[in-house]
Amino acid sequence: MARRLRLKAVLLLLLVAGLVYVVNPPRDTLVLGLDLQGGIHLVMRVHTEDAVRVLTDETAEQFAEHLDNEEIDFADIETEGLGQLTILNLDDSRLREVRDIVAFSWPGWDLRSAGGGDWSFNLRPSEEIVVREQTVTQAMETIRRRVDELGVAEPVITTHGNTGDQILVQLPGYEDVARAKEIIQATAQLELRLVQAGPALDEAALPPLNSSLENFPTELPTGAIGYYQVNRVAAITGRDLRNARQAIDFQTNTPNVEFSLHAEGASRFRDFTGANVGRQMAIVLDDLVVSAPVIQSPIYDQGQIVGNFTVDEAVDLALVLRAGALPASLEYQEERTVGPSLGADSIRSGVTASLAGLAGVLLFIIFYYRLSGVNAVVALLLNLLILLGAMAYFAATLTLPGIAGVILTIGMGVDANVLIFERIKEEMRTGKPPRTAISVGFSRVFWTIVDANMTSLVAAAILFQFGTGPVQGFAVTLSIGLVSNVFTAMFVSRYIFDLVLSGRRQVAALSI
Amino acid sequence: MDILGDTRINWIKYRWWFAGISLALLVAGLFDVIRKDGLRYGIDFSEGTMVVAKFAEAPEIDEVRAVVTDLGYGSAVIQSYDRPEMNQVMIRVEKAAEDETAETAGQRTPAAGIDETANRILAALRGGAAGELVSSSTEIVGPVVGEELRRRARNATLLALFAMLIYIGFRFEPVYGVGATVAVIHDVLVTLALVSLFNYEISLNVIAAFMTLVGYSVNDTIVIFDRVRENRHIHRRLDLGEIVNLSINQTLRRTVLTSGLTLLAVGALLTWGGEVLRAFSFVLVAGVFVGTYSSIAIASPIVLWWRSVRGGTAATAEQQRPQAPPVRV
Repeated sequence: MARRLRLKAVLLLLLVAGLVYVVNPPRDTLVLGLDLQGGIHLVMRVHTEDAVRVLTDETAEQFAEHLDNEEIDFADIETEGLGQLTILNLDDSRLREVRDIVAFSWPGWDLRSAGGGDWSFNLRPSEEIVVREQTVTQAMETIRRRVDELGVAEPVITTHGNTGDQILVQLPGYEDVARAKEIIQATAQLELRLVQAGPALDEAALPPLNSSLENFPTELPTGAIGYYQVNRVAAITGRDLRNARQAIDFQTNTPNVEFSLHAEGASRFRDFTGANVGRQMAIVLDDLVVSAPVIQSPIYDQGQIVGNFTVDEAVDLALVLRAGALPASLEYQEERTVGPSLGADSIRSGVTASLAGLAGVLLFIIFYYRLSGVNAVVALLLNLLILLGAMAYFAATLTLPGIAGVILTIGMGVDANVLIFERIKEEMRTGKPPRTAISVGFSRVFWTIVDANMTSLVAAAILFQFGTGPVQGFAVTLSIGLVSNVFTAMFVSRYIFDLVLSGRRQVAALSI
Repeated sequence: MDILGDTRINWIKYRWWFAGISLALLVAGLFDVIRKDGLRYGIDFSEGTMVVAKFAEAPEIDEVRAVVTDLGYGSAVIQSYDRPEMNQVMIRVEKAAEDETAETAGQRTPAAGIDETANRILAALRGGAAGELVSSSTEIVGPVVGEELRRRARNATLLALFAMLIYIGFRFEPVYGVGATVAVIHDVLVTLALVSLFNYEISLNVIAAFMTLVGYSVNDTIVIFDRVRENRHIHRRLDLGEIVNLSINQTLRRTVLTSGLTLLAVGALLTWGGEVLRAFSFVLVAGVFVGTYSSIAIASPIVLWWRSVRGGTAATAEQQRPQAPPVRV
């Protein structure tokens, strides 16, 4: 018995020391929220015209394909501007069919005669507004996912101004603003395309372009800029990614990014690589070829992006690839520091009230349960330390309501101790000696406490799996609180009882 | 030391009274919500106005907050803006209700609504309580919690409730899962009614308080259910109504202590926590009361009512509970 107690004591002390190390100094590890500390205020403009341009290009390509499939003759489709196409020399005799195609597949577009057999095909202004609005919404969602991946909880992300294309982002804390800005701004458009020619030092040295080919710049090993000619249609894009993470290439010992693909993308990738063994595949990131490896054999759902990355760059690239590409590029328009949204008085009263609540709970427990109450207080304080340590470990952001929530978790954590102590008292009332009462008490409430906490834990797991941002943060804090609650009540409190009673042979009374 | 002697209250006898009280609260809340044209959502959920005001001297955030709060903008976000020596303050407030109605009536452009809100704030600031105003600029800002975030939060919460129902149904019996879930929904609705009746605004923090309330309520319910589960093994002669009464009475000391201690913590927040924590701690105080009450008044009677409808005692199902193994910790 004595040896087991000593072992437990060592384990507990190690745990406490580790937690103190993680939590201390709190300023470095626990980020204080926008309300307590302030942070950075960014206003950015989304280049929504990018999205309209992509839509225009896609429409030109797909419309041409559709006409070809129906064997409707036309000379070419030219892009005149954003949302403006001209179909040259369209076969007028089949105009009715063309109109049906437009009505069915491109309801947002207008087909009008431009004279001489040419037809203009334009995106309606009302439709263009919808596309631009969707682009901003998508950009905000992508930014939110990226900020979540950064571990910064409780950001403010919303639209700004009445032009409809500005986004306001506030991030707590001032550290690493440059990195956060870069991660938010990275477009992260990843495309894998088949190389047709290159690299050449000059675009003129490449074969002439046609509608199915495109040239992309690259940085050659010598440091000079070169060009690859690749297929216009990408085999795989960032949308096909299931996951991405930073890794180390064993052969070259350099950082790279490993990615895996969704089932549908994987089958396309397998067909693509299988049909092109021995040829080069260009990895195009934001219109720049990062590398162009030779396809050695058919590849299934895994791949890696090799480039001239540092570890940090590879980590950040993996992050933005996971969070998804921005639908359009961003431009920062304003960067300001902002102070805490709560004044010093508000913060003081909030913190004071939280501490007063905690002190009240602890004092009452000691008053009510006497020496056993001291036991419970030790368990609760350890609970508090575990909670803070875990929050620091997960880089959680501490806001004033968050502090209140932590105190509340402690207040509710008392429940486990109350359950145990009341049960021990009940058992003692039936005439059991203290040692037996403690043992029976603990074992009787074990399933009560497990069931009560497991129910909340199941709910927290679901919230984490299906929620976003603030909901996930809540789920994490709740889960930690629940687990540490069971641990401190069932293990630590029991240990203290055992320790106190171990020295005595006969225990006649218990201070409870 | 004990706070209560052994109680022998026949709780089940009062179940229709309890149902009546809950129903009355819900109806009152519903009427209040209808009368007020829906619940009040704060800056987190609605479009708002952002004013950057420059002062002659460094303003005190709390004083600016006092001025803005007096205008009726409960959940204003107020921060110092740019470098401290610029003496600038950024104020974000939700769109006032009258702005919205004017806009939907099509009488004013949105820009006019913003200017009106901004002018009200600036006029109040010019009153001088927070120092001399030098210049200002105004912008419109969107809601912090967009449609997508809201939808996902709602779905996650519903799924989480369902998972709880399944877990409790599995560990106890299906009807216990139903009882606990109905009690939780009851708690959320009654607390929402109180939020409306007491004119509090719903913010992200208030939502977090609601989620905490759900956890508290389920925890409380399970403690009683667990005792019922145990007592059904010990007192096989008693009918379920007597067992429920016995279980509630046996755990009453614990119920009073735990909710009392939790109330002590959240009561301190409500009393001394200041303006910012008020709605948050109100929901928690109400939630502790309602969550404790519903375990006794809603969850247990539902289990009992279900049994009486089905008629059987179904004691055999109870045998399947895994026997708690002896614990060695």
